[in-house]
Amino acid sequence: MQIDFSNQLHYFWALLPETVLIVCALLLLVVDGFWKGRKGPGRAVGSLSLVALALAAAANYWLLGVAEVGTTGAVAIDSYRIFTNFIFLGAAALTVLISFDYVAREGIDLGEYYILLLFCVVGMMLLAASRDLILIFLGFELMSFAAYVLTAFKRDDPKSSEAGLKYFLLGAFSSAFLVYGMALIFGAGGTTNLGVLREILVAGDISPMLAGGIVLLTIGFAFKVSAVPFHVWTPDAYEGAPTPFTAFMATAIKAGAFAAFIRIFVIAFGDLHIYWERSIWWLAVLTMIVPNLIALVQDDIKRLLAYSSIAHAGYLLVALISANESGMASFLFYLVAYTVMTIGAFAIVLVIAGKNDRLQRIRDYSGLGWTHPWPAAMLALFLVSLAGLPPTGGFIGKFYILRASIEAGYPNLAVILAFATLVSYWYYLRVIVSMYMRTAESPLPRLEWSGSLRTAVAICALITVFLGLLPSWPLLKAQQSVEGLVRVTERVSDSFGVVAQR
Amino acid sequence: MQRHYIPVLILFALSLVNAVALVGLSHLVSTFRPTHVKKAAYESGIPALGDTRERFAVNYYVVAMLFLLFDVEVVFLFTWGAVFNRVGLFGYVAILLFLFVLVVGLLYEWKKGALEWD
Repeated sequence: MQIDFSNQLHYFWALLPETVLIVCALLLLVVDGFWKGRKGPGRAVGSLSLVALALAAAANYWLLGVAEVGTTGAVAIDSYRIFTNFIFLGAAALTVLISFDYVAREGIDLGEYYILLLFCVVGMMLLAASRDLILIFLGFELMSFAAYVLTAFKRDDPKSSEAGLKYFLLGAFSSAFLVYGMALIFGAGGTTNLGVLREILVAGDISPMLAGGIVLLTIGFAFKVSAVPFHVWTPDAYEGAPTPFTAFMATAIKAGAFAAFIRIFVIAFGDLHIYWERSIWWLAVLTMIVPNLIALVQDDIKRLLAYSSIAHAGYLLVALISANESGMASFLFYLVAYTVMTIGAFAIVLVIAGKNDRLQRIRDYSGLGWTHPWPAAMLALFLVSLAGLPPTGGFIGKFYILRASIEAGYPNLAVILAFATLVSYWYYLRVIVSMYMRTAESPLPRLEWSGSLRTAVAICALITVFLGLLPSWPLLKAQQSVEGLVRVTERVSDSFGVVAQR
Repeated sequence: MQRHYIPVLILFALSLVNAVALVGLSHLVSTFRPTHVKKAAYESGIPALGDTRERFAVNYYVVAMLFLLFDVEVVFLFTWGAVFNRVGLFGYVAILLFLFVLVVGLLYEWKKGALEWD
């Protein structure tokens, strides 16, 4: 099918996955409202939201066979969008699967939890799809509003409310940066359409207004992807939020922000690379070094994983700054690996924590490997993958990012990434050492993890290992997804001042 | 093109001059002999009793939120009505979709009891 935006009704087809998901979410709202059952609608709405995600995935698959006319429609129909949509939908489905146990245990078994999650996913899908600054801003708001509420979803827990408020204030602040940057770019280019801006804005002819817009956009996105020094809200928000939603925040929401980041900076402003690469270079360096050092002294496993997720944003920034096709392919590949391993790790953490999230210190994990071999083995696998050791997806993903950064002429970033990874081994392995080489102080009771949670963990583990052992097929898909999106441009110089020829 | 905005600038300048002049002149020219009655609050409602930082029922927030929601709806509807002839079938369908989303929200809050006062 051909999509031609001169016929406005074609927007409906172009946005089919989003439409399907939002209609399902609205239907679920009605179901939740009219629910008559004795037990509350939470579980039923949760199961139905899985169906909704599956329907949206089917619509997304249908988009593969759709071609668009031109590259200036407000909604992009390209494989990049479809690939990232699958990541969002998969992450949301895994989050729903690991949520069932948690919400029942913590007494927040409400239908709204899943409905807000669906709205959040719609926002992300808009972020990946839109080729218009206004639509990107709308996507951000839709995603963030649902996320603020979900962060504060444990109403009786002061920590959760505090996290929600902090997240809301910082999120609103960063949205202001974003929208002001967009306004300046609109002033410089005369349009909000990224496809048109890409043709209008050429290197060598850059106005102060455009430079200001790019700087403000960089700051706004740095807040959203929690890059150092704009990361301070992250550990608090991640620690206070309900654990399954923390997993979702660390993976899908970050992926959504990165999707728009790449759509604007790499695809639309690819020709202006020399103007934005220096600031993002520093962001990437700081984001790789600082959180890895702070994570060394964390005792709370949720905070440890939060700092680890900030560090991973730094690795993804390296892929972004490369701004070539292998950089974007490695970004997509790493995003898949990062999503499954992080959700898996958080799933085990939420099982171990027990009622009211009591057991979250690292010393609570001592001896776990002998008393509860299965959860310990799974957590060890995910942590090894996060650390980037073979034979896991995390290793291959890091390897491809290193390759892309060297191809793009950033050997210094590759060296820093390798060193940051070395530092990170310490705190990932500390948990594993604690599980297998310490004796338990007070043995954990029998763990309660239902079939759905086990399924989610098994899927995460399988994908993590699969990406590590047979990476060529997913990498091929990632490469096909980004083909032709970036124009091959001549780089002026790399970070050492050496001219790089491409 | 920037010349078009000069009237706006003049308006800003005039209003600034006006405000400064009104306050400044009344300070300079007037005589000020305060008495107890003159200093009392004038036509500002009942005198305050106690602290303003009190907890009050969450219902007020819900009402305020719902009011805001339907207020924004009216703003959309007015602007849409003003250009109704030009937006055609697409605009009609679009506003119907918008209203549909709102109706679902209304249905939800009604069934959840957000419209009950207690």
